[in-house]
Amino acid sequence: MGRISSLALGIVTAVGGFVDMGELVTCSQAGAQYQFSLLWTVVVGVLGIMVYADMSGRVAITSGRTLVDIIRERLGWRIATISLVVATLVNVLTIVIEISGMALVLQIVTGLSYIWWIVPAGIVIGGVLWFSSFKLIENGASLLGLGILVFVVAAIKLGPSWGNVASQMILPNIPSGSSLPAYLFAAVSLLGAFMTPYELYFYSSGAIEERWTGNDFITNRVTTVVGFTFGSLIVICMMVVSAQTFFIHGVKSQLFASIPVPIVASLGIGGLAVFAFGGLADTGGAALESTLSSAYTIAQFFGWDWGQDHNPRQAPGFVFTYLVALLVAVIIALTGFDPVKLTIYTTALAAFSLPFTFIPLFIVANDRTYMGDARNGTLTNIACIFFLIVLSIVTIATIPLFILSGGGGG
Amino acid sequence: MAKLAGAVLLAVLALWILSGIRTQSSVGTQQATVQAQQTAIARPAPTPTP
Repeated sequence: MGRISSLALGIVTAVGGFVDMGELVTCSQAGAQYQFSLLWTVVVGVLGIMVYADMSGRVAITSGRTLVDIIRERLGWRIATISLVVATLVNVLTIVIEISGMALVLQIVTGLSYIWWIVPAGIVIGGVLWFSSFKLIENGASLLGLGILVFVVAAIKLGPSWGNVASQMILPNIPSGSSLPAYLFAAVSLLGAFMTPYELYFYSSGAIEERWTGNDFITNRVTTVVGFTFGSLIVICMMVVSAQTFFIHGVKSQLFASIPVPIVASLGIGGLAVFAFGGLADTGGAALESTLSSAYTIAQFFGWDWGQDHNPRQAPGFVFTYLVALLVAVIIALTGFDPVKLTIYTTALAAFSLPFTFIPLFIVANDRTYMGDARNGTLTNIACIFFLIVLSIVTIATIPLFILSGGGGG
Repeated sequence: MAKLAGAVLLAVLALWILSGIRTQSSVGTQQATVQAQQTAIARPAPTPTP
């Protein structure tokens, strides 16, 4: 494939794959409860994931090795084990919520409880992982997930004050009567949704799977910056859509089935069909990626053969890991714990855990031994330190905010 | 190993069926809530108090 078409595909898949269950739930609730006053989290979260994803790709390109591998070698088994345990917990819970997301979309379409769809969704995810190549998984779901652009169309149709939207991204105006702990906990969940750890491990492993070399630094930079920028426009529109319908009518949106209500109101049943298609592909794609991410981290930590393009017999530990992760996730999902609540808690946990991934990555990305001339520049380091400070505050504040807000309820 | 796998699969099947039956009754309630939300947002938006 030519360089330009490869770049274009990378950007499009970054856009289509940006949204998952975390964004669907947290952005819809944020818009319904706080109108535009949590849009600033999109700016912080997307800039943060751009910086760290770019670093993750550079580390993989320069060293030819994955994040987990280098963290274990550079920082030792203890630090790497802590990172692994935290990442695995978040990864498995992410698989739970993404499979639940697939099932909830099917509940909206069929009227059958989402529980009936959990096992079929798990079987489909397992089958796709068993039979498909990395490229098909990465590109297929993301391209199909572009249906989620229906939120952009709906936002334009609903005609908010775009000046107010833009100004609140910098200077939020918290609605009067809002509980501050609940508002801040919602912010934590949003940041966790935008910067989920599985994205970094998947991106880093993907760079190795696709055999990126020094010629791909530009691909890495353009994919992360341009792709995530366009992806952020979708989540902004998701909050706007929810704000322009639920918030102004004083309607609380706590169900997953409420998420497409503004789409139906502005675009009719055709909009619902596009949402269902895009939502299923996005949550399915995220389920695939988070399952792979679980297997990548564990296999790379123990030094097993790994890789989606391996024949399953060539990487039995890797394949066994993703099958077990998927089975555990399906069992947790089948308990019927409210998937919307679980999504909010999982994204908050992801935000809490980010320093355990970002700090080791930051250290490696500055190490001349591994990075040579591709190590972080001054501007990148300033950005990284800023985000690390923000994330450290988030990590310290997550549990107190969870308690003070009554589990995010306010 | 095969017996263990069989036991796990049976347990998953039982959990699936029991959870499915338990949650199916709430789908109607959720659909009613969504319809109420659709009705609420179809009304003109309240005018903000000056």
